[in-house]
Amino acid sequence: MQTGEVQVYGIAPEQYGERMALFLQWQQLDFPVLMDPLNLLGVKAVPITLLVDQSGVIRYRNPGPGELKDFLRSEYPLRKSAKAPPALHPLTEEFSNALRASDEEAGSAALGRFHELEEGAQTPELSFQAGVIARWLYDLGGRPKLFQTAIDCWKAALEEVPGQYIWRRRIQQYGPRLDKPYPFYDWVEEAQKEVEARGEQPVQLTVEPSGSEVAQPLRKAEVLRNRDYPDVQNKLPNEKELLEITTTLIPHTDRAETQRIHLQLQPQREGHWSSDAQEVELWLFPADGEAILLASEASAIDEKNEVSSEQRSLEADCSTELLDSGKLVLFYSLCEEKAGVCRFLKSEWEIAEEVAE
Amino acid sequence: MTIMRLNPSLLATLLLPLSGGAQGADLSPGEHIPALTLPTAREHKALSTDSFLGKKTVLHVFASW
Repeated sequence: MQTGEVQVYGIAPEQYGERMALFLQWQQLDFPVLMDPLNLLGVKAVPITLLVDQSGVIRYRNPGPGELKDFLRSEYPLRKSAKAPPALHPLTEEFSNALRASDEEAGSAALGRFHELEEGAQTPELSFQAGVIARWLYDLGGRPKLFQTAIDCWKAALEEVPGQYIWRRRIQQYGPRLDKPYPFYDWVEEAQKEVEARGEQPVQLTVEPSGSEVAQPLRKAEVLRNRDYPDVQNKLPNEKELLEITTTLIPHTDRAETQRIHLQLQPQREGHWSSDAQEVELWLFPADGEAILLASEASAIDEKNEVSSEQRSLEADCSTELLDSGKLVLFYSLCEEKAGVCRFLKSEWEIAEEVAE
Repeated sequence: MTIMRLNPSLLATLLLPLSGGAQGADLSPGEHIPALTLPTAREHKALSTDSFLGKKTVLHVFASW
């Protein structure tokens, strides 16, 4: 936006550019916004407003209304910039293009390039950036464990610089509801509807926000209303072959006693989800005490497909103490072969054992 | 059903060339705006902070959340 006197630009240190593009479309904002998912600018928190003169010199930071008037009225001497901007780093371009195109092949090539880079100094900034790229590669599909890699990288970075709120927010975006300052992306659905109602096509998102990304913050631990445990007599065998379950643990950024569990559930062989049993239940069996229902709302099955073997996800907040000492039990319905038998199944595992592996 | 615990610092070392730019840039009054080139949100075009030069600029660093 240029008025002749002043121009407006934005910089957004967010993981996904398309979400910002949708936000701008929804709010009908037409100024250019530069995406800075790796936080190369190095800001520790947002928002920040800067008033910059025609030579690129910052004159005010977070100005009041009077200062804006002074800025517009003032004449500043022309100064030469010390340094020309570097080109967009080819890896940044490669990764973000691969993600936008949902191109797994390009993603694999980018992963190859990523691993070809030479070793160098280790800094928390680099750890954060590694997390951003790990999460992008996870989003391309086929590498479910890279989500945990992203979280571990961000956590390592934040431990070094606890006052870095851009890094903290990246964990909180996916983390426990007790750790969320706000819901992050709950506005997306409303934005898409309003943009459509205006007769426009909403900006297409490469990664639709879900689960923790749209969940409301909690200020007090929530006690779920318990249902009856589905296998009181412990008759169901522990199924280990038909469903691949990948667990990602997202810590509370301040208090270690709470975590969020993300499960990615991928049917194996010719297994597919049963259309008449969408519910998946995740229970926790503490070392002492009764089983606790953690979650029962897995991501929905795409009903357009006759046979659905897509990856589904399930998320829940949980006490770290209970999680470390107990076992997780997942109940679900899966069918074998296209017209095969559908069965109610159970898979159980202990988090402590997995982390030790 | 496994959780991968990849050493973050190992992964981080692979990213050294990405660190060029303005890590922890000083955004205080009197400083030059850091020299960066970044993709735009809408058109995905590379745009540098040089684009700000020649006119007074209001620069808003913000997130959609």
